[in-house]
Amino acid sequence: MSRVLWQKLLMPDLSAPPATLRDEPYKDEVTNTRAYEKPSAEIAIPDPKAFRSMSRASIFLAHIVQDAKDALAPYQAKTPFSVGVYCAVENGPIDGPSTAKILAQPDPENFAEHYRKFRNPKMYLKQLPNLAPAQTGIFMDLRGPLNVYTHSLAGAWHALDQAEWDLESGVVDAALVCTAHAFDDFLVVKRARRVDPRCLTEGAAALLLVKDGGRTDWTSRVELDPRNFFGISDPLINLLRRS
Amino acid sequence: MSTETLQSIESAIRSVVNNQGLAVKPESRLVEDLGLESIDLLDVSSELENSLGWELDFREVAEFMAKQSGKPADMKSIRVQNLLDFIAQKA
Repeated sequence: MSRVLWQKLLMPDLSAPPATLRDEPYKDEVTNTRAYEKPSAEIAIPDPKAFRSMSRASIFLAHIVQDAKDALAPYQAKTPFSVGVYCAVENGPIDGPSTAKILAQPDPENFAEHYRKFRNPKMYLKQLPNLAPAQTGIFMDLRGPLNVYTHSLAGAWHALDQAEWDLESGVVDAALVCTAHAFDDFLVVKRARRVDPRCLTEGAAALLLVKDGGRTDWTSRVELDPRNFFGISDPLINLLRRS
Repeated sequence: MSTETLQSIESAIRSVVNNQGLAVKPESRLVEDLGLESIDLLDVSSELENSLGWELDFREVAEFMAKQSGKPADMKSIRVQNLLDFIAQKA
């Protein structure tokens, strides 16, 4: 079994009424959603300058994991390579307005030039799912293995399982298992809606695991919420809500 | 023109570093004083293109500085005033 040394959860007020998420470039909407109350720019992160290259999910992660500093300290004192990151997160945003401008140009043969002109160079970074935990790793000086899982339903289980495996086999001394689900990419939101009718809710969770005997059967510890669905983060968020 | 350009530069840099209270002065060095990194310079260039209408290449700014001073210059030594001078001579 592994032992939870530290944990943190980020969720909106679940008593707030669900809302409809509208996307202008796609001219589409998804009903029964609940976003975290704070706009991305108002969520505290360790290095505000990195904001423009961070997806909302990345901001959620960085925000909650910064509180793990004290719990991480003894392991980092040994070596920063002793802590691994195991993260379940989906794609970041594709900038709809700039894409619309690029596609509206009359000379598509100059696509590369239009892309350069209309697209913020950091926008590409935001799209990468593995950049979210990498940014958190940089902020927290975590240099162990970095694993990212993007399966929209099983990603969080994969993260937990690999963390257990690495702890058991001695690859790492501590495992930061984390996840974030944000309304970054409208197509991801639409897909999540297709697989689950519950209120689609933003959220994030992180826990620091250390080795403590054999392997843990995490699936038996999770009780799903009948009303709220946290996308890729659903299992981990519900695990932390129960504990 | 110069005041407008300075305002555009201020606005671009403040957006890029995500700090609306940052003091951007003509004598400020982009890297050492304002904390910009190489990717931030690309970002500033992209932001400025919206107001200038053309792409600002920081390598050209450094070459312009070297020509003006007769001394070698690199992107690390660029000050806001150098940007203003470069933009003025391009206009």
